[in-house]
Amino acid sequence: MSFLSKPKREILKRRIKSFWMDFSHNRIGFVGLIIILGFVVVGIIAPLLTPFQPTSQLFKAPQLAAAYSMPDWFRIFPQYSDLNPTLSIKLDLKKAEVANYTGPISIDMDRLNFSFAATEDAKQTASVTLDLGNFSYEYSAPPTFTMHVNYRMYYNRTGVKVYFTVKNYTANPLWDDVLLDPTNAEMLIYVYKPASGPVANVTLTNSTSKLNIDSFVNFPRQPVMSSLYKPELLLGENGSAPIDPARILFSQKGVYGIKLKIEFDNIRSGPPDRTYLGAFGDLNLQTVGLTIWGRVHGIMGTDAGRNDAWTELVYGVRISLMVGVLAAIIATSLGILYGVTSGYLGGFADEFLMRVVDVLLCIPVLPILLILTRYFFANVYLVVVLIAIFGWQGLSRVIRSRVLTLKEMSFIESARASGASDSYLMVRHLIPNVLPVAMAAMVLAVPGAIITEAALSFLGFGDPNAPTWGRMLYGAYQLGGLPAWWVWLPPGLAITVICIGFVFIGHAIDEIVNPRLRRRR
Amino acid sequence: MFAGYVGKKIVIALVTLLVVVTLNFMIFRVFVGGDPSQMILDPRMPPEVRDQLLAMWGIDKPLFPDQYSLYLYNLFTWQYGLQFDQSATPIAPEMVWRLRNTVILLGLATIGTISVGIPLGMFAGAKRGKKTDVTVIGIGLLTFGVPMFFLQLIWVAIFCLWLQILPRAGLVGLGGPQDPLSVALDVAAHAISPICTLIVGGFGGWALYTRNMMVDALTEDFVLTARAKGLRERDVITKHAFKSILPPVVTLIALSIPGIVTGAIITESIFAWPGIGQWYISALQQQNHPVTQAVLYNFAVLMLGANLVADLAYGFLDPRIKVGVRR
Repeated sequence: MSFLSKPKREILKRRIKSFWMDFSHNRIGFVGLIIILGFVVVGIIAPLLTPFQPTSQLFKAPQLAAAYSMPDWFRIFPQYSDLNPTLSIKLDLKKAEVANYTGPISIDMDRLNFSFAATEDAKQTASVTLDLGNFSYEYSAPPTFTMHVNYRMYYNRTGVKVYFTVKNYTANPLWDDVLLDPTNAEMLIYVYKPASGPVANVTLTNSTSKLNIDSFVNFPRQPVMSSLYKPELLLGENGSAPIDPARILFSQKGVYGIKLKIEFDNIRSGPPDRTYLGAFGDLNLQTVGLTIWGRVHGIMGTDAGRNDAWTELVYGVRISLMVGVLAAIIATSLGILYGVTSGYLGGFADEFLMRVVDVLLCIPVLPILLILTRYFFANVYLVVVLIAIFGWQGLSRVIRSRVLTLKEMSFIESARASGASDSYLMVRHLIPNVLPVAMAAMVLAVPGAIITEAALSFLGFGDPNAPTWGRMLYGAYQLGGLPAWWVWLPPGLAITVICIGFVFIGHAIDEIVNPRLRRRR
Repeated sequence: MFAGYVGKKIVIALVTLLVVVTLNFMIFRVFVGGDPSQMILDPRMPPEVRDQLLAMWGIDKPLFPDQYSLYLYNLFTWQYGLQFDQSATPIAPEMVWRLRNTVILLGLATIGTISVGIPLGMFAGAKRGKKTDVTVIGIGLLTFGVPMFFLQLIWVAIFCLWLQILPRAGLVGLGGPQDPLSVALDVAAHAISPICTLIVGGFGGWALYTRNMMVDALTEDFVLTARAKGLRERDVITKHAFKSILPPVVTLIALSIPGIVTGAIITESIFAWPGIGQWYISALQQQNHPVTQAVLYNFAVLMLGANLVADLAYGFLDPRIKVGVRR
């Protein structure tokens, strides 16, 4: 404030103080201020409130839970009490035991190494079955699960199949023959390498006795890294809607056992089937994992992309405030500059500038914004600028009419008489005098900007990288999340409350600075 | 003076139309560009068929003046050209029935909103400071805060998903009886949700605006005069105070057109109402540029027309302009 002389500073201080006196006695304005301050605080301490950062990988799938999972605390209600959270079953390969093995195979359990070498010129199979232990599952059936077997393999002319078996141990305590158990409680992954072709989809078939997942994985050149299997969908019986195998596999509570069977043979798949003498394979197990995805997660559940909804909601405060305030500031500045210039110049220039405003006011804003965000900018900052560019025209009219009356007043006359330049007059006399009105307009422009941005995101045209409230609502509308009201209701309410906060403040400022409204009170 | 005023407004409207139309052309043909034959057409299509399609779209010729003049010709004859799809479907027939759907939906919604909002605002303004007045102010302020699409999502979740008493989306249900009465009832059932949400979400703003104007008008001297002459309060309010605020209210109706356009896009998308707003979104997603251009053109014409009507009505209703006093 060094550019103001001391008495002027005093005047400014007194003015602000009297404004604050008026404002703090305006109940609506005060409520609005509290609301906005609350949001600002939440935005500042967002990292403390959330377990994730929206930019981090942890925030993203698939580490959290199934899509549209419910909040964790829903489990206090009896009908939701046995929904499962996400369970990562710890499988310690060091503690794995060899349950069974056949054929020409050598086993090194310390290094988790399994070597196969064909010794005959005929079909030869070797297998090893590892017992990976038990875990107990005490919930209703989960929505989906993921299992992975990570291994490295050096091989020559060898086929390998990896069977990952999860079995309800309570219902079937005997593992007589693991892979031919005639119950439903069994899951197999076959991994074998086809002659050629890229990684195909995981295809699932359902027979009456077991669930088979045949996964075709194209092994690249040695060494071979394995991959991740996600049994997502399974055709229901009699061609009904697809259901997830998890529903069947974990349909009963109880103790489940996990086994892993690795099978080698000296036949390369695909015609012509022929055996190889001296075929060998050397497989080194790295990690084995089973994750049962939860139906409940965190404070607010998860969204369509299986991200943490609570994190999105909290960080959405930052984006909404930023969008609203920044767009309002830019638009108001443009409006003031344009209005003051037009009003001060007067005459033909004024007429021309105001006709330009008329033309701009006739442009359909949202359709144009949709085009621009669709084809040019889908960045949240550019969206802010675009909203501002389409948001100053109304204000510039108001400012201009204010300036028209101001510039006839005697203080402008005397300033001009003492040699003030045009720019000095505009900056030091006209702009300060229209500022109060512009302030009210600026605060009242914030909700419009917030809602416009939310509308763009809601229609799917926003910044794809910004976790905005509008995008959470987009999930409800476009991605089938409407039943998951716990995900979309909070961001919608947040938009409403933040906008009402600004409307309240703007209403109060308007009442204080607008003499017409003040007289009415 | 009135004629000059009208002439000026018409000239501005025409200039705006030209600006919008040219921008519309420039954006899609120059800035977005892209070869539609690569975006849409099957790459295995025989080249002679492709060339024929390009010729039908008129994009094989130079941008200026051929493409531009063809584009202008298409717009001003309300033909709009051909869609960017495999069969180059003409736009005009689809535009006609989609426009009809949009006008039905938003026309009814706007009429409903106005006929609820304005009388309520009038009433509240007359009862200033009373409970009704405070309620109307509250609802009005709330209207500025609640995004329409959020209200509509809540509506769909309650009435279409939870209670299941209203159809969720579309214009007609599938497989119903085909006689005109049943179809009309079916369409009406599908229109209830969008129209009701538009009214519920929109009347508050109108009520608040009218209320503020009313409160202002009721402090004017001519109201005091009217009361002093012993007129009934109802006549004072309707015949004197309300009549004086009619011009700004009519202006507001015009200024609400952008909101109605926005409403068309969002509401039709949510309720899958086959109007031009929904068409606009799907055309944007599918890069169907001629459709986007055609719908945008219609939006612009709609807004310009409404603005023009509002300006003329203002001039007609406001005696100061009618007799030529400078504003």
